[in-house]
Amino acid sequence: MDFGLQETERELCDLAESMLRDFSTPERLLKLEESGLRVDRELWVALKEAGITTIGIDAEHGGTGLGFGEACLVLEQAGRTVAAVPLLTHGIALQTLQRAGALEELRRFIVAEGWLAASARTDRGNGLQEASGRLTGTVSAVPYAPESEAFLLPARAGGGWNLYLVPARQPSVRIEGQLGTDQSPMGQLTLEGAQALKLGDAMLLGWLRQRLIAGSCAIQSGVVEEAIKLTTAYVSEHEAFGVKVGTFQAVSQRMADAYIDSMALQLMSRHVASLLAAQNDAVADVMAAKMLAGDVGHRVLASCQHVHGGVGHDRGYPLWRYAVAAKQNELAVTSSSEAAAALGAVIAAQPALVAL
Amino acid sequence: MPARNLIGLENGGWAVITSQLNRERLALMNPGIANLVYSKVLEHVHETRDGARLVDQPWVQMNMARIYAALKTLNLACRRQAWGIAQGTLTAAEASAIKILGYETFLSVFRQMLEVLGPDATLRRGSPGVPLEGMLDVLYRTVPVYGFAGGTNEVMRDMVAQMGLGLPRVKRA
Repeated sequence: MDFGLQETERELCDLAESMLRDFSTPERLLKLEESGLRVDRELWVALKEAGITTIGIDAEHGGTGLGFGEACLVLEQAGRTVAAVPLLTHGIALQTLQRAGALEELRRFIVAEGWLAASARTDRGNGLQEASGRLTGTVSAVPYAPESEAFLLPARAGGGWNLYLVPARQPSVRIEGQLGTDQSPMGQLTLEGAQALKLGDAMLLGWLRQRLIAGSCAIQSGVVEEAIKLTTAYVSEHEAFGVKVGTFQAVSQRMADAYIDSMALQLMSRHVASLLAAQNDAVADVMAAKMLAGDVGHRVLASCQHVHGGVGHDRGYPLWRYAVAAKQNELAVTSSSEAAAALGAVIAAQPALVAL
Repeated sequence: MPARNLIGLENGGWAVITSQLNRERLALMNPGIANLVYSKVLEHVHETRDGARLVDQPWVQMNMARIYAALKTLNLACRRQAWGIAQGTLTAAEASAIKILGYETFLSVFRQMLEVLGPDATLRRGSPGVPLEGMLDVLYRTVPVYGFAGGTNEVMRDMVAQMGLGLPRVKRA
């Protein structure tokens, strides 16, 4: 087992981080948030030109090559910079098209200007139904749906769920803009007999769901790491009662726990990324990682905001963006408790599932 | 002794003893025994008795899921540290961190396993009907010792804060 990053992986992280960081200054992010659509189109074009948006897509289809592990390393950097780009939904939607063998669509969306949105929800928030190849119904909170090129959406068909590709620009699709707690654009979609291409059945939907979860864990790992960095810097300088806040044991012990949480999350997140790079299904560990990502995001950001005092809630100071990003990721695709229930069901079905 | 009670350098004994302490902390948190007990509890909850399995109860599934996730994380973290030792890169902050992660994990997973085993779980070894030969009764009573054995956890957290995060050093009188 090798826990280190290879030279090429480190270079990729550095490249992605420097691009994402250059664009994602607090001033620029604030401007985008005030514009009503928190998407940095200039950064998106730059990432596309650098091949960052097509990591995990084979070169023969027009992608950058590399795999899911590398795609997740880039997502960690997106978390560290709270960048305003749809790297997760677009990247994993492209990988799903590749997996489904929808190669013509794959090539088209690689070169298209915009991005793909994707949702794997099959709870009560998704009422989409398929009938004679067309989709009808409403689905809520689809990340990055506004102004996207197309959506990957599950819909009920017969007795189960299938996964469909739905072009965004058609008269039978209505998009109402929604705003995530992290201010990212989301959409409530109402479809009335919309054209859709069936990509696969529940198996492919599970494939997509596991990768969206693993990707959100990678983003969370970056969010948590950067929040701790910001907080460490703050309590090392800021003084109360004439001494540095970071010298209070109540503060330093709490931040030490945050460090341990962050270490654990990075390990689990990279573990499931490498599992999914090598195999189709890793549902037990993906759910375990999501439980941790939710718990750690919740705990660490509460600690970081707390030891900052009021500054941690100040919109002129960067930390609050990490707090709302952590909550967005915590609830993305599935929650810690729902993931625990899903893992429990796997354990009930597999008597030999050891935790080694 | 004096020579002003040398600690650093001369023949480098200080570095030897501190790197030994790092290894000791990892060794203390070896998850082998927890993995073994988990596999036995897993067997236990899958057993059909009077037509029912414990693992079909939702709360048992939640406990088993939380135990699995915690042990998976600890196993990975221990392997990561063993790898760090092999590479010669394991830091004191990481070794201190594993001690806390291990302690907190053991404390919670053994409790959750006791819950799953039910009222028989607190029977002492040797009692008729004791599950898993009384292993969990011994383990839950042992874990609190690891809060201070091999370095008190609050001192470990101080080391993580100062060496892992770079928070300002504090003189402890």
